Amino acid sequence: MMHWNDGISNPLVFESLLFLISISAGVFGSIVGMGGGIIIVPALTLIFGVSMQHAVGASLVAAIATSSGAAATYVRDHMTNVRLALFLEVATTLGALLGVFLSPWIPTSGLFFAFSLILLFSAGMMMKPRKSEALSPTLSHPWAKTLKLDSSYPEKNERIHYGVAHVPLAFFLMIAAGILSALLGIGSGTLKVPAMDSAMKLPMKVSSATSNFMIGVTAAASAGAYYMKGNILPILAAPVALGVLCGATLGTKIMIHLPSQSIRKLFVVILLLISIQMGLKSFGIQLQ
Amino acid sequence: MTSPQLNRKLYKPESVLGSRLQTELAISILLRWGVFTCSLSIAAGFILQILQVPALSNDLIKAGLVLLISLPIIRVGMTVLLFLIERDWVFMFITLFVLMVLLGSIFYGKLN
Repeated sequence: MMHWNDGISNPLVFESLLFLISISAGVFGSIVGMGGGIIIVPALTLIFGVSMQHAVGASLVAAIATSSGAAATYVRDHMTNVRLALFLEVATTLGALLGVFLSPWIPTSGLFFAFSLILLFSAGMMMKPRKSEALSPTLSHPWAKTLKLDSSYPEKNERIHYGVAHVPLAFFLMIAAGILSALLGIGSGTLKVPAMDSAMKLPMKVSSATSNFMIGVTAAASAGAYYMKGNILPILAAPVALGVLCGATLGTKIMIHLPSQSIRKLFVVILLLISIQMGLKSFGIQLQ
Repeated sequence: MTSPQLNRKLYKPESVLGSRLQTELAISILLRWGVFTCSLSIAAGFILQILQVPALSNDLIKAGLVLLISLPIIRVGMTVLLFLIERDWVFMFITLFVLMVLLGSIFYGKLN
């Protein structure tokens, strides 16, 4: 293990390496709708020996960069459901607030085990066969009609219209997602995508792009506070930001051509990996 | 020259789809330019770092990072205004609530 302060004498070599790792985090995050923290945090702590709080600071910058970089394209192409994202942001921000207030009273060790099981369940739900990728707008929840959440997205030069199911349930799940990510320091994309996919029956690409759009706001709330405390170090955050922005731009071009089922399978594999990691953590085995 | 009819369409969108597309276009343009400016500022900072102009390099990198972190907040603020112009009160209050919580949590972080 090397330390970025003394191990690599030339900061340019360190920054170039980090830039390359960040490109992959940006590509990956923009395809599955996550912030890329699961690549950035282990890379910084395990390879470069950066402290956890500075690694998290850099990963928050990565989440904002993935979100803004990818959304510029996804929103223009109507892959993102903007009205749905704005509506659900109320739930996730409410959840994050609740999480901050609840944190002194909730023991996190038991929570990691519960979270591990939730992820296993989510993975199972996402693998259940679906009749079709898009829900017929006639089956939309009444709230989706009132709030005008039904929309359409592009797939192979076609516009596919879709409806949004179980809006109240998804709103509740998003509050829970906000609480859990605030309590456990988990990137919220991990829980947003399964809730949109399994409860709201959104097409996978719409779930991923909409989750991607939302994580920028959640991360900005924490990043602002981290920046004020001086936990966002420019030597880490700058190459991460630049790399992730390049990666996210590349990722949007790849995602449009990928089959939905491949993205869903990739996401399920990641859910299982995080589930194992959280399970081990609940028994006191730390991998990071 | 733009015709008066086109202007009216711009300011008073006739269909929901029309106003929705304009909101999305505005968000997309904001993010595209924001991300472009951040990248340019950080990249210029790196080049100056190689050329050994540390003071200016640090300022450019910091400015790029601050703009990047502010971008989602500016985005939410802009949607509040867009929904206000469209008189879509439900979504104006939804986005205003999110903006308040965002600013509140950053301010709370500064206090602690």
